[in-house]
Amino acid sequence: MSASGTAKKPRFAPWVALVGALVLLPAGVVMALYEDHLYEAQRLDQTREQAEILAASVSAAVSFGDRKAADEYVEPLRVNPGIAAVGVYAKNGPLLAGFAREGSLPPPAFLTMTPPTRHGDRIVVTVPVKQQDTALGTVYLRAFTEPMENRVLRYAILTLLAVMAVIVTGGLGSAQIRLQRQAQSLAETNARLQTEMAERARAEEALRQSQKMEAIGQLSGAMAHDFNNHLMIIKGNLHFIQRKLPPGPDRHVTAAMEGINRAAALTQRILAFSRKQDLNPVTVQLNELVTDTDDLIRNSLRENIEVVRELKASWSVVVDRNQMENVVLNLVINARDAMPQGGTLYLETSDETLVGWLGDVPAGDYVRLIVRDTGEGMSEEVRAKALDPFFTTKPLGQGTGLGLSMTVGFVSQSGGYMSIDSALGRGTAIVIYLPRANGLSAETGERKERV
Amino acid sequence: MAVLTRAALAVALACAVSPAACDEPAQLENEIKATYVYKFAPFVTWPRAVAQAGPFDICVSGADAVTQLLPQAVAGQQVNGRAIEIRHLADADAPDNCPILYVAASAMSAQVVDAAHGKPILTVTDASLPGVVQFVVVGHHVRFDIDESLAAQSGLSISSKLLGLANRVVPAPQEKR
Repeated sequence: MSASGTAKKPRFAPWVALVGALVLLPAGVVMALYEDHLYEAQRLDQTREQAEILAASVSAAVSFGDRKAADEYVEPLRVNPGIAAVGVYAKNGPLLAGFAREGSLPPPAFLTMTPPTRHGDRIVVTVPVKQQDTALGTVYLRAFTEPMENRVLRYAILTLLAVMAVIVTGGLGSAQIRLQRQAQSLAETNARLQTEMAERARAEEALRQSQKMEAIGQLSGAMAHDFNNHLMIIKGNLHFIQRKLPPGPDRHVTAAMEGINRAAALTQRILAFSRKQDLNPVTVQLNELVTDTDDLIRNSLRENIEVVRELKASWSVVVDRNQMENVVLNLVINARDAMPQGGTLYLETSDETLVGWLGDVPAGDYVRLIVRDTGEGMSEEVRAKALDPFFTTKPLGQGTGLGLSMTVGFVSQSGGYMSIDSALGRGTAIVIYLPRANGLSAETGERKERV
Repeated sequence: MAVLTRAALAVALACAVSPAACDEPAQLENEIKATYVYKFAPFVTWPRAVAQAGPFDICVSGADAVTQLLPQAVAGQQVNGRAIEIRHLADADAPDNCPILYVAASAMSAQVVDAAHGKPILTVTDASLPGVVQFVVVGHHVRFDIDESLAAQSGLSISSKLLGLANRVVPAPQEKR
């Protein structure tokens, strides 16, 4: 997420303009040449028509050699600035009437018919003078064409305009690209902002959650600790009472004892959740631990649940072995309860290296344990509350709502991280990251443990 | 461009026809008239009944200086691609199949001209006779008058270009045609 990959596509537009210009310019040159050719042909036609009109009107004057009458027809052509010279010739070639514009050669004194020709920027046309089918003489007409310089100048101006158009097109194209880039970066900034806002909302939610847990944990932890002390006093005194009674179990004392033991177990769980239980961390190989609890797991599962193990971890972790076994057992029982119709239970371990923070644990080497079921899964709301103490979806009397709470408390107290990956209909996976045992290989850790 | 006089041009034209006669004014005048006779033809439209093919006949009635010069004047000339033939009419001959009839002044000339009128014939005469085209001499220049009214009676139509060149035009009556 940065300025990479911006505005790659719009770069296309100036290319199009340039290619268009390269195609258009030769086309323009061809057009200009063609237009020039057309102009010549048109000018020739005009000149011939003028000569023909003169030839038709001057025929009687030519026939009777009437110079004055011929002049009357020739003179009006002087007003046409495009005509350089005019000559009217009698039948055998002598000049009868005519004129030449100043600076132009006079019409030839004697004329023979020639095809239309071009002399520099002059066109020369000769047409016969006829009356009915009788040839009477000839008309000679020399006309100016537009000088080459003028035409070149005109085309140069057009070329200039075309080049300016190309420049303008290119300028507009690049301006458009700049606009597109700006729009793109704006969109990116906006997307980034929205992502940041979402992340912030998540972080705030997580903070709130952890603060809540912290508060509950502190309160319940303190209470459980005191409560436990009181239980111990009651328990000690019950022992004394038992000794003073006749030998043999007393029904009431036994019942009171059981009650105290249950209460003690409860306070133990609360202490686990509030991360205040007394732990005895040792180096443990999780694969081994899972294998060792196999019997317990098998006993707690029903026939219709298949167990699949993928134990690939090679690193050791440092945890309280008994509590860890409790955690595994707890998660297995949860998975079982999520699959009343049967299914598959996956137990997976693997070595993982985190490159950044995950939840509240830093980067480093971890062993990951996943307990996954193919059960009904959790809705988003359930998943959000699943770690809250005393929250349970099990029927009244079947769950304490402390299982996952104490698990997360224990994991947290052991320097690890726990998350829930679940969705309705997709099953549930409890993922636990525990930090790798420092400087101990799996073998040595194992050996130490066994000795 | 040098301005040539009409007379000088006339001399030039006459000399082109007959160099020997250049220095005699009357002779020159006649030569010009002889040259003009066939030159009227392209500017005149005859009715369809008149032959449009074969030699173009110029009939001559009577004899004067012009009639003598005519064969020389028309030699090698053509009218609309047709060779020109000079046909001398005897006094008694009817002027049939003559698109152009030159009438020289003589005892019979008035009758000949009268007889020709009403037929599709372009009569060419000297000033003394009432032809469709009459030669006149104006200030030493040979010119011609055109009687469009007579031309219309004879069923001839004369190009406005020729009328424009005429010394004088007797216009055709508006209604009659």
